[in-house]
Amino acid sequence: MSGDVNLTEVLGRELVEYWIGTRRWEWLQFFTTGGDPAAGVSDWELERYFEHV
Amino acid sequence: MSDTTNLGEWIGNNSVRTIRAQTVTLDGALVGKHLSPKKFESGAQSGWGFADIALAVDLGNTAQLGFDFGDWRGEMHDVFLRPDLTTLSTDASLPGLATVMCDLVDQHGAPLPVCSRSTLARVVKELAELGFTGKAAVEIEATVFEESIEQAREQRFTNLHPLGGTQGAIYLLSRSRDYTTLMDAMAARIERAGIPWEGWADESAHGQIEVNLPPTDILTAADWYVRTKQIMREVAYEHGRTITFMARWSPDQFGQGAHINLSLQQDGRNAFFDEVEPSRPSETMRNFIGGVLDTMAAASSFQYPTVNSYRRIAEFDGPPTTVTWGVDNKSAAVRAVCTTEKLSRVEYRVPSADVNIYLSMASFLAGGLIGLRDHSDPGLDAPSWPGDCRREPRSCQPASLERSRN
Repeated sequence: MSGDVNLTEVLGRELVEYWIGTRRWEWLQFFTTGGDPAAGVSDWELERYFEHV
Repeated sequence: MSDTTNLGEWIGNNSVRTIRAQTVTLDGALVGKHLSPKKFESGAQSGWGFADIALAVDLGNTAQLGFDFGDWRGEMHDVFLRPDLTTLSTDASLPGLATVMCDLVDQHGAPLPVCSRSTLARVVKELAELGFTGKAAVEIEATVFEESIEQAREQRFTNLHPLGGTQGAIYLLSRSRDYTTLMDAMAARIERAGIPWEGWADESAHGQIEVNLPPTDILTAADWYVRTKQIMREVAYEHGRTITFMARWSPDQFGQGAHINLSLQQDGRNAFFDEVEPSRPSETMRNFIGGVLDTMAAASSFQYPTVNSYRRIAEFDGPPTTVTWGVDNKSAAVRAVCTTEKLSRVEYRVPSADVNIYLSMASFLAGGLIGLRDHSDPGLDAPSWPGDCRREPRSCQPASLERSRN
């Protein structure tokens, strides 16, 4: 996403930059709580997403 | 209603006591405030104060202050929820309550750059400047469980039992008794909230349902998606059930998507329909798809917004994992439906059920818009079934969480 100039131009730089920040944050939260992409759905994912996405 | 002239009269005629002003966060969660008629009328043009922290906390309620402090946040003052009065509606199932969709604006009334709904509206406007209007419908997938939400919370969302049991496959009416009472209630609520519905069905995974709404203008399609999800949640809870829109809640079950069906109209005709060769995409459709493919890898961040989204995209599991398109080919990321003028459309099969639908649609449309402007070509016509489907390993979507980092 961060490397796509055209999409950023249409969607808006501030939105894209902020969005990327939130996604990196999400990734960081997953890994710092012991998340493992190769393992099954984690308790962390269920607690975080089940009710609110 | 499109202006404030008869707002008081409308509130009186509909016996409205409370107005729920709502919008979505960047995570796509529906958020809002409940307002008295007096407060509602006083802010119907300018909006109502709304703490900007709603856009700066994650789904775990932790402030995301470490990575960015956008200019739009200023000195952490309030931002404003400004209603789109064309969306003001009552819900016959909840007498006295009205709802309205809102955009997030700053103290000067300018849309916030991080407002999802305004971003989609802006992309729709850019399409209009090219001479196109759109019609869209989003497929809603969810899984329902036998347990109540209170029970599910107590169990920390583990060891739940999908409604209809864990045997059997898609569309089985043998378990209709499990579903009918709940789904009748959902359909009735959706209808009474002013949203038409086309159908519902028991889907591939156990406990999974799909609800279909008819095509409408693009912004309304997104509004209907978030409003319908909210209604499905409320009705499920009222019936002592639990529901989730996670992309994949269990590795043993198929994932959940939010396929977007879109057609573009120009001069009153479906611009995706080729009158000369109805079985092939029109030039407009080809250009649109070309742009969507060119930007697909980048836009995937909006289509797979959570860590969990990536669990849905497994090879041969249904969801697309490559930058592909095909005519009536459901194994491709973009399915071109080329039949009649009424039915010709693009089905974008990438989004997971946990998307922020406004940003999902905005990034999809933005790709198409770029394609229309640049006259992008999607490459070889991909006929009907695998093998021939255009696959470009060098420009795959990030099909795993690990690859999404790059």
